[in-house]
Amino acid sequence: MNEMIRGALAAHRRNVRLLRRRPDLVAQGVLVPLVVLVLCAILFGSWGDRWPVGVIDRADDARSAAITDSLAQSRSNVDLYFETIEDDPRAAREMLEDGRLQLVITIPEDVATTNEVRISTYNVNTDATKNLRFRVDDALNIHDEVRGALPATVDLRTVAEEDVTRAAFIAGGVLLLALLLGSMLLAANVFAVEEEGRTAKELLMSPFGAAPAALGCVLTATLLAYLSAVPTYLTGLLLFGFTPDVGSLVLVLLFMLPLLVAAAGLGVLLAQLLRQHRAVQPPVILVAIATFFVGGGFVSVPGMPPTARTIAQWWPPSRVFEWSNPVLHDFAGSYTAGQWAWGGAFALLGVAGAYWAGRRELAAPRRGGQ
Amino acid sequence: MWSAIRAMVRKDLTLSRRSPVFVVITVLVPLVFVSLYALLVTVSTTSPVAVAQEGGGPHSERLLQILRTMHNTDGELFEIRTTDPGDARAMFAAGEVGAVLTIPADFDDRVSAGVPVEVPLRVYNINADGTKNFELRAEGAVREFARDTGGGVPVTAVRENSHFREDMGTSAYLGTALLVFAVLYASMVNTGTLVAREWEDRTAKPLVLSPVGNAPLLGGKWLSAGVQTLAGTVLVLAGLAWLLDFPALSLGAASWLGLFVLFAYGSALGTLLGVTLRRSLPLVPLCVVLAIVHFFLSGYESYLRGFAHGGAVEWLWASTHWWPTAGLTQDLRLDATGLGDGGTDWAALGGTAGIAALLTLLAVVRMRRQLRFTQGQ
Repeated sequence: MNEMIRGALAAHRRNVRLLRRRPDLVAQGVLVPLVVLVLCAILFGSWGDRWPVGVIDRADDARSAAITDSLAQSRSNVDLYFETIEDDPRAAREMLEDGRLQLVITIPEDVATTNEVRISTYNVNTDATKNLRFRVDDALNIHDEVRGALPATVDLRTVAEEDVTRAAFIAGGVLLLALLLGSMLLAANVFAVEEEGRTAKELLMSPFGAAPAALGCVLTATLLAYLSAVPTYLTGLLLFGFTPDVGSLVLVLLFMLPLLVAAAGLGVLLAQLLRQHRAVQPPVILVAIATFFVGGGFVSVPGMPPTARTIAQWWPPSRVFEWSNPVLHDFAGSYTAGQWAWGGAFALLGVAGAYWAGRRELAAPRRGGQ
Repeated sequence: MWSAIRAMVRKDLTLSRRSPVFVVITVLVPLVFVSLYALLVTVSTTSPVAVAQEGGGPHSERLLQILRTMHNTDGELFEIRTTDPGDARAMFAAGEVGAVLTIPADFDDRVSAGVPVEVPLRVYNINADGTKNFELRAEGAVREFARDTGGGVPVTAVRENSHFREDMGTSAYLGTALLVFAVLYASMVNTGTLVAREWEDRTAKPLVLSPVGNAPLLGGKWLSAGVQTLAGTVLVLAGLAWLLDFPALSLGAASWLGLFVLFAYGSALGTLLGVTLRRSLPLVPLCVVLAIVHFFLSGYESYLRGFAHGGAVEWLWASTHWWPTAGLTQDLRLDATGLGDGGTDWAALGGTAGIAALLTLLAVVRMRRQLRFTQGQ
C-alpha cells in the first residue's frame, strides 16, 4: 500500500513538472468556463432588467402622464423594467424597423376617450416578445390599480430580502463548472499524455503498473482544479457582482473536494477508454457545458420543464449545482449529512474508477512504436 | 490531382473505419449538446409553479383557468404542479418548485364585493430572472382576470402592431442557432483534427512537400470532413425536428447553400488551426470555444440588437454584429419559418464565403512557410 501511495505521489510530482512545461494541458479548463461565463453573463444578465424602449406621448395630458409614470415605476426586484431611450416618433419607428428597438409604446391623443395605448413590437422571437408584453401589462397594472380597475393584484414575497442577480447566479454556476471541468479535463489530459507521448509502456513495466500513475493523475487534477478555477472566480467577482460570503465559499470549496476526486477519476477512466486527446476532449467539454445549462448552473432545476427535471434527477452532476448554489448564495447555511455522505461515496467511486483504469492499461492495445 | 485527392479521402475514411470511436464521437457529441440545450427552450416558455387554491368559487376557478391556459406558440406559460394548498406549500418548502401562488380563501367574496384582493406570490429568489418570470406571468394573469371580470372601470386596452406577421417560435429561433453551432463545430473539429493528425502521426512531411502541391491535402481533408459533417448535420436536424419541432423540411435551396458556406467557413477555420497548432490537444477546445462564441454572438444577434444600448452588451454587439455569420443565421431562420420576404442575404453569404477563402489562403501560406518537422519527420 505504501508503495502504491509513493508511486502515486511520484506520478503527481511528475505531472506537476509536466504541466509547468505544457500549459496547454491546463489552458482548456481555464478558457472554456471563462468564455461561457463572459458570454452568458453579458448576454443574459449584465444589462439587468432594463429594456430600452421608445415612448411616444401624443396626448400630453393627465392620463398620458399617469401612464408614463407607471412605465417609469414598473420594475423587478433588481431593476426598472423600461428605459426610455427614444421619444421621437420617426427615430423610434426607424429603430424598430432595424430591430434596434423591440418595443415602442405610443400613447395616442385620444387615450382619455378610447382607453387604449398602442405598442409596436419587433417580435424577434416568442420569448422576448412575451416578456415585452408582460412588462407592458405590469406597467399598466400599476396604472389601472390606481384607477380602481383591477379586482386582484399580485403581492410578491421573496424568501431572501434581495434577489441574487442573474449574472451573479450564472457566475456561481460557472465557478462550479470550472472546478468540475478543470478536474475532469486535467486528469484526462494528463493520463492521455502517456499514450500520445509514447510513455505508457514505461509505466506498465514498473512494478506496480499504471495504477499509481492513474491515482497520481487524480491527485494532480483535484489540486490544480482549484487553481484553474481562480480566473473564473475573479471574473465573476470583479465583473458580474458575484460576491459570496467567504465562509460560504470556503464551505463550497471544501464540499467540492470529494466531487473533484470523482470528476478526476471519471476523467482518467474516459482517457483510458478513448486513448487520445482528440477523442476525450469533445465529450468532456460539450457534455460539461450542456450540464451547466440543463443541470442547474444556468437555471435552478425546479424552474425547468419536466424532461429536464427528470434528466437532472438521474444525472449526478446536476446535484453539484442544486446542492451548492443555495450554500453559495446564502440560501442554506450548510450541506446536509446525506449530501456529505454522497460526496464521499462519489470520491470513493472516482478513486476506484481511476485504479481500475490503471489496471486496464495492461489489456490496452499498444501502437505507435510502444 | 483528383487521383491524389481521392487517395487522401480513401486513406482518411479507411483510418476512420478502422478506428471509428473518434468519428462516432464527432457525430454524436454535437447531437448530445444540441439535444440537451434544446431542453432550455421550454425553460423560457414554461414556469413550473404550485398554486395554493384556498378559494373555491367561480372567480377562483376562473383565475386558475387563466393560469392553466396562458400560452404562446411555444407552449403553456405555467406548469401547475399542484393546486392543493398543503401540497403546494410542502413542495415549495422542499425546494421542488420555485414559487407558490396563493388564491386566498376570501378571493371570491372580495372580488364579488368589488374589494381589491391581493394574490400572494412567494418566490425562492435565488435567481432574479426566475423571480421576474414568475411575477410578470402572474401580473399577466391578474390583468387577464380583470379583463374577464369586467368591473365598473375597464382596464387600459393595448393594441399591438408587430414587425413580423407572427412571432417566431423560440424553438425555431434557437433551433437555427443550434444548427449553425452543430455545422460549425463539426466542420471545424473534423477538418482540424484530420489535418493535425498528419503531424501527430508523423506523416505530414511527404504531404506538405508533395510535388502536386497542397491542394490534394486540403481538398482531401475537406471531403473527408464533409462526409462526417454531413452525417452529424443530418442527425442534428432530425434531433431538432423531433425535440423542437424544427421545420427542417422547410429549408430552401438558399438555406442549404448557406449551410454549405458555413461548412466551408468552419473547415477553413479548422484547417488554419490544424496547420498552426499541429496537435489536437489545443485544437479541440479552441474549436469548441469558437463554435460557442458563434452560437451566442451570431445565433442571438437579432435578439441582442434590441437591448444593446450602453455598457458591455452594446460593446459586445457593436464589435460583432457585422460578422457575416450573424446575417446568415438570421436568413436561415427566416427561411425555415417562412417569416422572411423570400430574399436571400447575399452579402452575408458572400462575406462568409470570402472569409472562408481568406482563412484557407492563410492556412496554405502558413503550411508553406512553416516547414519545420520534428520527431523524426
